[in-house]
Amino acid sequence: MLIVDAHVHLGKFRESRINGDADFLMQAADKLGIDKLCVSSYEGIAYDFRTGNQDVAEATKRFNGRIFGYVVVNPRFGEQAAEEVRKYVKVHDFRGIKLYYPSSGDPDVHRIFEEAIKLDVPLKIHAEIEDISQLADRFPRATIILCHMGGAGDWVSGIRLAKLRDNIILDTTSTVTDSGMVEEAVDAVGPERVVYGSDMPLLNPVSQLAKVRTADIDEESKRLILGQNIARILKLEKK
Amino acid sequence: MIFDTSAYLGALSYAQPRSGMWHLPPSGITNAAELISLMDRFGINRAALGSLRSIYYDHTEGNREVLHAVNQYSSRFVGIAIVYPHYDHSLQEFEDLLVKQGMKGLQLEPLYHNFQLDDGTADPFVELSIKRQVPVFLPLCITMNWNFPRVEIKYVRELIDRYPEATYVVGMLSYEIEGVLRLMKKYDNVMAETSGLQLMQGIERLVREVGANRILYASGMPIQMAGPALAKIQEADISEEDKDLILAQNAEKLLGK
Repeated sequence: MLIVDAHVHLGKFRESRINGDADFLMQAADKLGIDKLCVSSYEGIAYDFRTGNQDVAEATKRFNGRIFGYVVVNPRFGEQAAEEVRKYVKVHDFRGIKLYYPSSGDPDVHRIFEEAIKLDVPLKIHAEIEDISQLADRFPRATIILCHMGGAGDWVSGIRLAKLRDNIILDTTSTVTDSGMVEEAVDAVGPERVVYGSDMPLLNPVSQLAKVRTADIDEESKRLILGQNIARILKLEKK
Repeated sequence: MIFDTSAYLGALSYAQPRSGMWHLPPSGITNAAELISLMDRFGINRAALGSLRSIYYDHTEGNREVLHAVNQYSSRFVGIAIVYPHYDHSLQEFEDLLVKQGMKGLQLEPLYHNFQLDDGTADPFVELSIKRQVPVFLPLCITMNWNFPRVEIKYVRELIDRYPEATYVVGMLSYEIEGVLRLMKKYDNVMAETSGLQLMQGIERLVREVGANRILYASGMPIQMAGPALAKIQEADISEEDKDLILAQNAEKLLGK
């Protein structure tokens, strides 16, 4: 079975005290039988997206075909952010854009969405449900991968939103392991719109994998969630 | 042998002021027989059982439900008392639950029972736990869902500083791992359960810094999933001996075989 982790970070996490460089991530993937990692830079989210994206580009080249990049930007950088997106998608073959708490009313955020649609890449977003709802409405042609099924709390609202907006994909990773999360997601939107992610090296990929593997859903749904869906969405077979 | 040190009877069925509107678990596992089926599915032999009714609505009814489950499945459950502390009769009720009914521990719920760990409300209950030699469970939250409120570690520290002779199980720790480890290094009688810990290599770090004999496996089932909680212990990069301690032996020592 193809296993693809849709939510991985390159970088150091103080919370887990792990320096998640490319070698560390690949060792973890090999140990757990994970075939491919879809990676954004944590430095890019927390501090400097330009150096963070460079690190991910190096990792994708070192582990070609196993590590795929999401380009991280702070939309408030305006044209610089838009150019960063274009460069990393076109030149470095990144497969998506990662945004952290974008505000739905911000024209800078809208510009990044427009770039995503032009480049035909999904946006992987950690944000408030309200913002996601408005952005999904405003940009129905954008594909949104909803991190943590909607923040790390109200996954029920995240699932309900995804049921109403067919451009939203639900990402299972979270500190939350409430019973029924995965089953409810599959019931609401079908197994084709749910993807496995771990959030390593912050969170434990073992328990995140077990969330899907021990869920009360059929084996075909698990196969889709654990790898096939994100491989399709990010066009991982395309070179 | 697998002994889960945090399981609940009941459900989060209604809206709560600080956590929103929930219905957990949606699977309908709310009674003892359904919980036993869940435990059997994952090979969990025993569980320390508390009542959500005791936390959210009526502790007398909730503890009665737990006692009924313990009597019905005496080889599978041990009862943990959860008592709203403000009634005149609450302390006597707690003592009866320990002495007459054989409950094996106290769980404090300051967020839902209108007190703080540093305001003296819980003191008589902790003193009685010391006298009766039962552990005090201090879960920092009900589920690792960030919509739900969390007990700040400074209040936990304050209580333990005042009653260092009690045995404590700090539960549902997540990013509080730094503060909990500081407490565990200061006090040998502070243990940690694993139901909230999702950090990568978090189990390994606890074992490395305070030893496996002070770590207890817990899931928080059926609100939280049992499978991931078990997997993170069973697949942790620690020795088989340490896994046995965490999965059962420590709990048996604390709560009885």
